[in-house]
Amino acid sequence: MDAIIQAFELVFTWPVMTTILGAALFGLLVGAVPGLTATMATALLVPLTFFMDPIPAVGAMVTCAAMAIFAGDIPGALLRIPGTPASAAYTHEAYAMTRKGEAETALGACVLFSAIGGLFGTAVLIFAAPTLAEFALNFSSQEYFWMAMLGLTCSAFIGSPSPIKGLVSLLIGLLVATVGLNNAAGVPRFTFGSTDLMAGIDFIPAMIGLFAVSEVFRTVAAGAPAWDNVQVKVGNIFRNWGGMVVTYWRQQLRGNVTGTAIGILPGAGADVAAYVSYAVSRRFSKTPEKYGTGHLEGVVEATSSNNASLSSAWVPALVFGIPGDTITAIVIGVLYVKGLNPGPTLFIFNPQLIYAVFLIFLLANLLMIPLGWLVIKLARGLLRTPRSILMPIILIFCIVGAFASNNAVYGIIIMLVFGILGFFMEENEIPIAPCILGIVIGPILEHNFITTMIKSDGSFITFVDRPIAAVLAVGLFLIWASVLYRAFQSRGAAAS
Amino acid sequence: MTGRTILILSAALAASVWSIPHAAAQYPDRPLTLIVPWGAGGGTDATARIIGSGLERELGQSISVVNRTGGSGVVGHSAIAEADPDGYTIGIATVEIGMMHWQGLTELTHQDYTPLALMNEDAAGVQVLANSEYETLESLLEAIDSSPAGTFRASGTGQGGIWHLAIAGLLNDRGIDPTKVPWVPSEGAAPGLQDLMAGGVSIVPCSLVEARGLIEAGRVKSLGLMGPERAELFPDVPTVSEAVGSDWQIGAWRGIVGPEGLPDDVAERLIVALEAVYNSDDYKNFMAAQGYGVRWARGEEFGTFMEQADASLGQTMEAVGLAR
Amino acid sequence: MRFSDTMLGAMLLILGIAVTAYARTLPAVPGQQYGAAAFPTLIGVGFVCCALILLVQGLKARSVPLVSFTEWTRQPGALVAVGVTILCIVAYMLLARRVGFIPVSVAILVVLFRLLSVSWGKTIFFAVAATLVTDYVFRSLLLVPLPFGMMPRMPW
Repeated sequence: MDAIIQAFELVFTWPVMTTILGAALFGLLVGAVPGLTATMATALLVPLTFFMDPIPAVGAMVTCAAMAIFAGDIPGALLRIPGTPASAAYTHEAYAMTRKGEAETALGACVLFSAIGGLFGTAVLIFAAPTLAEFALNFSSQEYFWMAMLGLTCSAFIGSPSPIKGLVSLLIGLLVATVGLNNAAGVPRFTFGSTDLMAGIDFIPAMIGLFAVSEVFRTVAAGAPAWDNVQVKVGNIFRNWGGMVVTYWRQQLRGNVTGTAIGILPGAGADVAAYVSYAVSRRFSKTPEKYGTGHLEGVVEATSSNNASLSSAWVPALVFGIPGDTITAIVIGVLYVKGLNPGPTLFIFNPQLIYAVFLIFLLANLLMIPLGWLVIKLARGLLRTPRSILMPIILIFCIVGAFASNNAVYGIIIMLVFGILGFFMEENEIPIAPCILGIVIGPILEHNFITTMIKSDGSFITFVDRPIAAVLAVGLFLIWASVLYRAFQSRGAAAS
Repeated sequence: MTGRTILILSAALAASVWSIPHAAAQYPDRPLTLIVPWGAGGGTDATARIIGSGLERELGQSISVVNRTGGSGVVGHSAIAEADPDGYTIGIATVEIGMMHWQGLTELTHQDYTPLALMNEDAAGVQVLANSEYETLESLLEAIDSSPAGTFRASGTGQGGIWHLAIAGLLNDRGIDPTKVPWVPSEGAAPGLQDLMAGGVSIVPCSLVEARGLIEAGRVKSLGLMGPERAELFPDVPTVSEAVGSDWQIGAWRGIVGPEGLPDDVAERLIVALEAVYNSDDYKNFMAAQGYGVRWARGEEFGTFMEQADASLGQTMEAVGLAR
Repeated sequence: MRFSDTMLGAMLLILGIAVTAYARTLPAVPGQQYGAAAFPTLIGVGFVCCALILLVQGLKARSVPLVSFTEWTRQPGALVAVGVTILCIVAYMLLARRVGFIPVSVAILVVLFRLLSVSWGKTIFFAVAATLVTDYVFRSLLLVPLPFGMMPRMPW
């Protein structure tokens, strides 16, 4: 108990609180700017933390990352540019809501459910970190392979008018992911002698191209007409929230659990979590046909998920010093510098410090609500700007964002190519979501398949001879069996 | 006058006013860029950022640390080599510069750079699970020698990466066929260690600092260190020379370089600044707190170091069949 | 621009075959069955399968032109607008390093605003303001090394 009181004393001081507030605003800015990720926001803070005490240093990074992941939803919903990869899964859906005039509702949900997701992940971190970290350490390449397969299965649930075109989109994504040197064999593929291509196709400019640039093309072609619908003003946003929590508590809880589970596993992060949750949401929805037309349900589940995943990525990081994602990788370094060495001993010898860190997690997620509310109010002005003014400025933002992802013109080239690709794909009713899923999951799938084969000398039995792997395999089999069963059933019903 | 003409005129005016030549000014008179060939979240990125903030103080100019990632370091190393040799773009080169060209991934070698300062080196260790039956490096090597190939597998970096070379070179040095321990590629030491915990591999030959969390948690132990002397971080871990009498040494190093042909006075200014950074308490404390090793070599000395490293890595890669 | 199933199928068939053929040239990992070639081959085969299904569908449906123009392309100026936007991006890639971010960005914005028939006054104001704000935010707050080109450093 003493430790908890000490923790409060450590956190509730002016320097700590102002640092957290400053980091929150910085995180909001970076997250809302396309091309800059939550990871970069955290990395940019590293030199500043040298001059800080341990608690404000860690607090700044935690707050900044949480805000950045939420803020990525803002340009996603308003302009169809996902600010960070973690928002890509439901950018289309949230933007469709904006087009229907429901931007405020969509963003309100993003703020609220991001905060709840973050709090849920933190609760798991506080109460179950050591146990869960033990469990996560049992995952070897076999288990990751099955997880990746489950992730790919999600693309079947994201929904597409034509299943075959959805598959084509997925294959395009998988193909894009094979470019470069970043494969298990270390062989350059599809590089044609170019040094830039050795780095592969960077996900961030590709995403900016597929979503934002293709949208700029479409709007410019139509002469930038005004928005179809007038934005609905949501009166008391807090009352609205109460309704949302009541209506969507199932989606929220499922998103929280999924996100937390994915976040705990090192190697998969908030972006994968959001996709899986969006797909799961559609699969279990009573109205799957509404997905993609501006339906809040999927947004709620996915945004609950990505922030939960962010918090739970700290489980293996704090317990074993194994980073759950790139953000925690940076913070682990800072923890060592500040003498807060990650490990079980951190929980035993310095409980007041670890409680202080937890407190900051809670604070950061609570702070998201007022700041997010402010941002939504400001965002209304953006939507009143005529699109003929907005679209060219968005293009400049896209160019700069694509450049910033790797500080090279190569990023802009990728952005342009994928902008044109995305434009043609939508013209031909090829959905974009499976393509992005392919780019995200393709490398995980391939890497774990190849390394498993190296470990087993080419024997396939190894994929199911570990208990967790076997369970995952059976789960995947059951999901596919149910998909095929339903497909046959509906075909049979249609025939009779 | 149309708006367009106004615009052009004002742009021209602005350009003429602002572009007063600053040839007379002393180097550096504008911000510098420090290129990092590896991503945010890694040790190289952290090292570059602390060096960058030190250099800012020494040079009185802001330094922007720029990540140029991908292609196992090829992209970033190329970007450093291709920059204008005016001293405003420098970069952090890593051990891979002595490896990539042997694998046929690039034409770049250490000769494409002006060496400025070696800042850090971390030797490879041999890590196994804490509850493994092997208490010493000697017993582990004996077991590898007497078991069929594939009994032991190692991981911790990509195919042909520095830690792959470390274990292969050690086995080669002890007269054991390196292919007896197949390499399981991973995207860095952390996933490799994760796989060690999960039972997917049995050896992770990464640096001690990378394995630190798990060693301190009592889950992993290090049997030997492939460096000249014991590490300050874990002084109980013997060097391979003490453990098995092998002269084999290998480690990951990081140093600041500029593009080839940096003017001498510019290079000297940077070296002096880097030396001050290296000797500063901030740098020493930062590196010590994280557990990184520090090693200093200036200019020419660093060039010779890279040349020797290059030759020895090439020899090893040839011997273990990684060179192309 | 809309491709018929037949056209799409044919394109994907060529892509699939090309990918598979390329994958076959990738070196194997010594002593391993599955290496760099395994996945691209699988993807290539996947493309071929999808292509065949699309071809069958397309040939069954018949009587659809291979390439048709969707409604918007027939509007006057639509294709020109897309073309100009693409050229703007290409111009940025070619010029930004030499000329600098600020002039190129202003120029692109002026071109696009005028294309969307924004009045000259607003064009100049928004082009300069948006460029300067972007420059400030990215260069100074986010430390992105936007090219200076011939431009001197702004006061921030």
